[in-house]
Amino acid sequence: MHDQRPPLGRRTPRRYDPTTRSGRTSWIRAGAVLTAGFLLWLVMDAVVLQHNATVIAPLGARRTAALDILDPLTQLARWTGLAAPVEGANVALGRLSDGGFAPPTVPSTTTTTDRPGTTTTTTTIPQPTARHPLRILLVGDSIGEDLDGPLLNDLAATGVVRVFTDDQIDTGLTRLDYFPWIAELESDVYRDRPDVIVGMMGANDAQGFVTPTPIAYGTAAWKARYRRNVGQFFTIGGQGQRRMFWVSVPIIANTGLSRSWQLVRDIQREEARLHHVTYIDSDLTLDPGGAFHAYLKVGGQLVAVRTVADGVHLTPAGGQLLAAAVMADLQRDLHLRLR
Amino acid sequence: MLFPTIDFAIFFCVVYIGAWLLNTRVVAWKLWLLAASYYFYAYWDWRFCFLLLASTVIAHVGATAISRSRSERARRAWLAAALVGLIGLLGYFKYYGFFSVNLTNWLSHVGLGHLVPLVTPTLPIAISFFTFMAISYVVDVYRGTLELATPIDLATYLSFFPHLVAGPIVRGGELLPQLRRPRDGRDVDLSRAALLIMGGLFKKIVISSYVSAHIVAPVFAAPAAHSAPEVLFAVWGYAIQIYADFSGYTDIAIGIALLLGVRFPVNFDAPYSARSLQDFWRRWHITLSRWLRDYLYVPLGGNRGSVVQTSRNIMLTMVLGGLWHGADWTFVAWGALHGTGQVVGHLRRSSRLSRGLPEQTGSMLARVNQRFWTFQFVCLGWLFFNASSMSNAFALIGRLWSGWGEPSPLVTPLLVATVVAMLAAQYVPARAVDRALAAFGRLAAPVQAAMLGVGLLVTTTLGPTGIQPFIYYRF
Repeated sequence: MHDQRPPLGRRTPRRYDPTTRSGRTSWIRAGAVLTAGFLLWLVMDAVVLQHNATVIAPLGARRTAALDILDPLTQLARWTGLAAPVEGANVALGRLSDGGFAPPTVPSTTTTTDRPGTTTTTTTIPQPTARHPLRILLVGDSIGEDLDGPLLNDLAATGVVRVFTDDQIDTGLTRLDYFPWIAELESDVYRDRPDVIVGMMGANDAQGFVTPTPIAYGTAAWKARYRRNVGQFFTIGGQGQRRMFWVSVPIIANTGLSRSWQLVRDIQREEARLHHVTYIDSDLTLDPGGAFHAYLKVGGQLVAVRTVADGVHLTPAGGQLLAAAVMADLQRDLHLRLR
Repeated sequence: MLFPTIDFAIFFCVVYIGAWLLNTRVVAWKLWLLAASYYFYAYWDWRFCFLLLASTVIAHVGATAISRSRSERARRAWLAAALVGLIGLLGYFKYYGFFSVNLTNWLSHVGLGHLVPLVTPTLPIAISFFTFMAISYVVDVYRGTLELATPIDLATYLSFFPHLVAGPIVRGGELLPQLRRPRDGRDVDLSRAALLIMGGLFKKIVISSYVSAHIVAPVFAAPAAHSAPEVLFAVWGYAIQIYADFSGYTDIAIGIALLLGVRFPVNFDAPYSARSLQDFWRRWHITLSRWLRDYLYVPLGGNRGSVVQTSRNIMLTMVLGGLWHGADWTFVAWGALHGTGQVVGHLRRSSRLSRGLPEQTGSMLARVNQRFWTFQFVCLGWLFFNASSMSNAFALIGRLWSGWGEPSPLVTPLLVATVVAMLAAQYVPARAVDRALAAFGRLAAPVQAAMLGVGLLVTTTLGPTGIQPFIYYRF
């Protein structure tokens, strides 16, 4: 008779069994304790919850209702002093007292003298060496992050590039109230002193501006404001001897959403031209023929270049393809020999 | 709907009150939970509900036909039909894209080109979990170890929201009887439920998020840009991240079920204290391990045949277990690695037993040694598991060889302390946990509430803004 006991596991007495009984109480008392604990947390954390609802939640009835509930709770928390622990902890953790981002304290490097279209960028960057590497900063949102991993890998493998990254998911150049990208880039530039910046973001930009009077997406006011934000970003990115490259957000599976992104792409392309930022059209690599492609044939093999889950983000293979295209542009435009 | 959200807290509050008010009316209680569970699932995408319903119908029709069939041949035919239906759904949504691309590439090599359409179906959340539960139900009815459930019982069992999305994979024999009788409303295990939920939230929101953002994500995304110590800590960190993430989810699920008076099986038992791979699989994702054992390994022949046959069965089970996690060669490699390790362990144990020696040596030093190397082997598996591709995995391994002597700014004292603390937590004795629970149970209700509120505040304050989905949601 063979031992039927398999090597893949068997029932043995557990050292710790979370389902064993530890105490009895009625469901009403249990519910009351849980509810009271939850409400206590709600009041103590109301300041942070209010901040999050203000800057993160999309405009709509849900956000309005959340703020209507949280406003009096925040006042109650401050009045009773229950907000003090979380406000103190946030400050100790380097955040604002309401849990928001602390603005950078570096001096501004933005100038207003660089009028778009009045400067030329004939920068010649010295051939980098291991001793004097080229400093490249990669910035982006979540799609930018998909590109930046492989690109960082390719750049680092040259041995003559020092790479810095700053990818912030769910961010963009519309909701600067949620994430202050202009200030962030100034801070990055001050800290990392990049020779070159490569950016890719815009997937979260097709939405209204949250201002005292909301500015709806696609309106003339929206276009003017978004153009200003992009322009500011590119001005900082391409300031002085620094070169900036901008990778367009790709076409996505959802055709309706993809169409609504077109305005973002158009403004970015136009501002890139005005600010002498090298614009890299990701469609040439990822969406040949101007149509969404989930798969591409590479070296005779079909590879998935976009994630199945959302039809938006890049697969590792898609990221590598786009990274290779960006690498080629970097080398051509900067007259570099990176490999 | 994610567990650690205010949406879920409000949802659960309503479900909790309704469930206990309807507790003595068994059918109404089940219908209430059924409606709540489908609402919970529809919160992601209402269209997924039809898939859950389809799996339930297939399982019910198959099990009913099996139980009514007189001949063994008919019973087998119905079993096969039900399994084809269930696995077919899972296969289409989870594996079609992977196999169609690989098949097309292979066919191109032999000059046959595109014979299969390339479609990328969206992967419905939870499909792997409820499919496995449906399969176990049909097989158990076929084996005669489980009696036929009513349609409402089966639908509630498969869709019960605490386990629906990421397990534990509860057997029919464990949950169905609990659905058929009222629960004792005076016997809610608040202490244990609170510990599980609060601990699970802390593991997910604080530990998993911190380790992921601080070292795992940046290093796995770009191995070439990081030193060997950073890669090493990223791999160890991923071991901590996936444990904190998945066991955190399971703890919350078990705690929520406990509050509703339902008991789930344990799913994790200090897995990183394992002394061998066999021991690891008794402690890690226990409900999946036993599912693979009972519905795959044993039907394949288990260890009843020759050494070669047993080794083959182990390898097949582990590779298919890897593939269950996702359609990618990295998961296949992860399963194959564990399979190889298990085969080697099995051969070694058999050899020791045949020589009259105990399975494992028991000295203190030997135990430490076994635990250390088992953990390292498991971490090697996690490297493949989390890698975005095979080349990414080999790039990480390559950096482990070549990246020494470079600066390692990501290996901070806080990160090291977190990894060490999570590993040390594997050795907290059960008695200490029980004593703490008993002490909590003796406290007055306002004090208990205050402790829960403050505990939640600590968790949300230390955690990042926003909640990332649980890792196992995508499986």
